[in-house]
Amino acid sequence: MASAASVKTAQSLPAARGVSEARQVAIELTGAVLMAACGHLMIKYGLNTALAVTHTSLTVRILSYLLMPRVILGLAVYGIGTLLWIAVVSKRDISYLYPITALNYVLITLGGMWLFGELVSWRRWIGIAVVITGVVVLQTSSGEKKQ
Amino acid sequence: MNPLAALWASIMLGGIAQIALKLAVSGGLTGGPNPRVIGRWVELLCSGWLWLYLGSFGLATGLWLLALSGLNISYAFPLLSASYILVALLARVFLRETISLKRWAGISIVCFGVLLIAWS
Repeated sequence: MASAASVKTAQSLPAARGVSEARQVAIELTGAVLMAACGHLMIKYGLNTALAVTHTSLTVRILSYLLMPRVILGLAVYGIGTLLWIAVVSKRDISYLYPITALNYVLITLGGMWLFGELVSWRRWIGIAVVITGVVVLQTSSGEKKQ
Repeated sequence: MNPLAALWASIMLGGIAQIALKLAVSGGLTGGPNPRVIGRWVELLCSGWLWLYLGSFGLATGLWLLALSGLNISYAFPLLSASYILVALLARVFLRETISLKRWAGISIVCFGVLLIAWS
């Protein structure tokens, strides 16, 4: 039902609007994936400075993490990413969109490597290449040109 | 709770969350009866599906942490790739999404890539 509604909208729009809708979807989807990854990395960046605190209870520790400015900023970026995700889910099939979020593993691995000097094994590089290949294959089935 | 049961419950709820979100916004966010975008987002907050999405997403996250407290991440993480197949199956049954052979191929390749990352 959902996809039928979006197909109808796409058909009733003139070609020029159709192109800008596709661009809007691309921007929202890229933004959602990038901001989720950036949010996670920013939270990790904040937590890296807090790892020394271990003598308190778990609840107190979680609450103290949630008060750290970098963690708050990371959660806010993640939240904006979620809003973009909600926007893009309204426009495309969920069976197409959801696997694309696996790019988060790719971005977080690269971010962890560049920002925190984490080591990336060759097996992980192969996994990254395979995930990207899968997303490229999914792009050819984005569901915008149905019937 | 048994960590393995928590893990599978987390995966199921995570999948259900995405289907609920799709049902919440399937009318579109920029069209619909209220032409103003902000109005549509406010309307969205009144949708039961949205709250099912937020609730099951939150519960799935909690169960994931519970599962991780009892399982190795190298064991738990690969099973997350099952969620891509689960969402596709649920979308096919409950949202009547047509999943072409190409899309199944893309989903399978992504799952395989996540498995490789998990085992690295």
